[in-house]
Amino acid sequence: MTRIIAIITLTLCLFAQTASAQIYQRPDDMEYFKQKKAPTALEPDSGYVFVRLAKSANKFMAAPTLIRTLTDEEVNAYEALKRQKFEKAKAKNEKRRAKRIADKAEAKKKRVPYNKPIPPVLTYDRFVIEYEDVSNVYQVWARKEYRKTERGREVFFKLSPGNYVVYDIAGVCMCMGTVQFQVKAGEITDMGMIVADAYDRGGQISEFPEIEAFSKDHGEYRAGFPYAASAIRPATPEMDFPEELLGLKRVNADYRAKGKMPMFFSSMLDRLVPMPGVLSYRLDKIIDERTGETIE
Amino acid sequence: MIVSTHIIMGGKLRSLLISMVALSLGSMSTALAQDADDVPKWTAEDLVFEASPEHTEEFHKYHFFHKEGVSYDQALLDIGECNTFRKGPIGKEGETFHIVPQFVSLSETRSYKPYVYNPNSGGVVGAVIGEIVGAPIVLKAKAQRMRKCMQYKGYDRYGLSKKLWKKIMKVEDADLVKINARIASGPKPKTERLLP
Repeated sequence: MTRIIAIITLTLCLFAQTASAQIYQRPDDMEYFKQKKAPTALEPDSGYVFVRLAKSANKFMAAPTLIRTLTDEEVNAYEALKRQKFEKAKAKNEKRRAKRIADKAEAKKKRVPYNKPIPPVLTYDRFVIEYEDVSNVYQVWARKEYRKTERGREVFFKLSPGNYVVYDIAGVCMCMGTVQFQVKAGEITDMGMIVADAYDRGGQISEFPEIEAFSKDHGEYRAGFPYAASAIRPATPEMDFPEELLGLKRVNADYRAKGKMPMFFSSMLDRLVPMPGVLSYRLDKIIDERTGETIE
Repeated sequence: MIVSTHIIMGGKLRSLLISMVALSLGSMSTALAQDADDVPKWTAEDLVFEASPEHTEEFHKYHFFHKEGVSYDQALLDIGECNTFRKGPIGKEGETFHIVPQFVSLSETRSYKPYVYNPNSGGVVGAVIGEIVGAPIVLKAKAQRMRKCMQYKGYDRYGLSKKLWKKIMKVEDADLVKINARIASGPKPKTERLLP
């Protein structure tokens, strides 16, 4: 009996270890700044992002997860490896499926029960490989704030220059419509303010008008679902900005609409609150407000 | 047989009258016509049950979708896409933990079609979705994703009993899309529309 328990414990430990290996690690190029150690100059090769996280009256505050979109070279290298691994896995999957299906038919003929599961058809889109050559997921942590303000927190961090997509806010995937922006080297990209709210923290109306307007038709969610909606307010001169950083070059994020994305992670699904002049919707179609055209 | 049912909620008799056809599940499955590829052609008219307070409390979990004037082909695409979202993160069926990978293949220019309907996928033996055995949190997240997606596509939501819901959802993946598309594009349900 003790042996069985020991084996189970060991298995669980091993499982926990492999599971923890998948847990997110911050990309090497991401570095948070604190007000105490504010940078006095910007590195010419690094990108910088400044973002304000608003705290709602319902005591809700949300941070985004940004994804740097891959360059063509990166895509090609990854796809080549994935294709290679997929072909191998596909052959194995087909063989196994065929055997199980045949066994099941045989069992049916003999009228004996057959309980082994038939593996689903492996598709390229849902095939996942371990890939460590590139890190492009940047989870922003509110607790790594640059400073706390009356309105919430401000986060200031360094990362590689590139094109970034606001993929997730508060663990909710913006898969059905979001924005992207360019981070250029040697300047601070000001994302403005992330505004999000939840209804289960004592409030039934959000103090943020755009959240209230966007989620007013969300019916049952308002009765105790722990999330209302998320919005980004582009930076304005009225927004707080630390004095000690005023001497550094700063530009406002040039938001552009981004089309639908698959669910890579996150557990809930939504889309970003429409952004005037940038992003709007016609049913589930995403409209690029700069051109008026639908994005596929 | 047309019956009128009073719905009692929280001990209070609500003056809500719902006219519905009472049909037992057993007679339903035999009475319905079967597709050539064995997919039952149910419509909202076949998904009628006597709503009790227990049912209405669980409508957030058990429901179906309908949109007036939508074609079957369009419903196939819509439900197929939302079903892909419902299933959740790629490669991690039923996964709801917030495990964030270090790398995802996302490109600026490449367009992502969450779902492309493949007419040949019918009849292929696929995996039965582990809906019923899933943990409550997994089910809740799945329902949230499906509802949100269908809401944005302009579909209305109607309540179901758990028994009927299992009937239309606990099927193979390709069948699930077909069955629900048939219901969504069929006659308008006679029951009350729920909030999204």
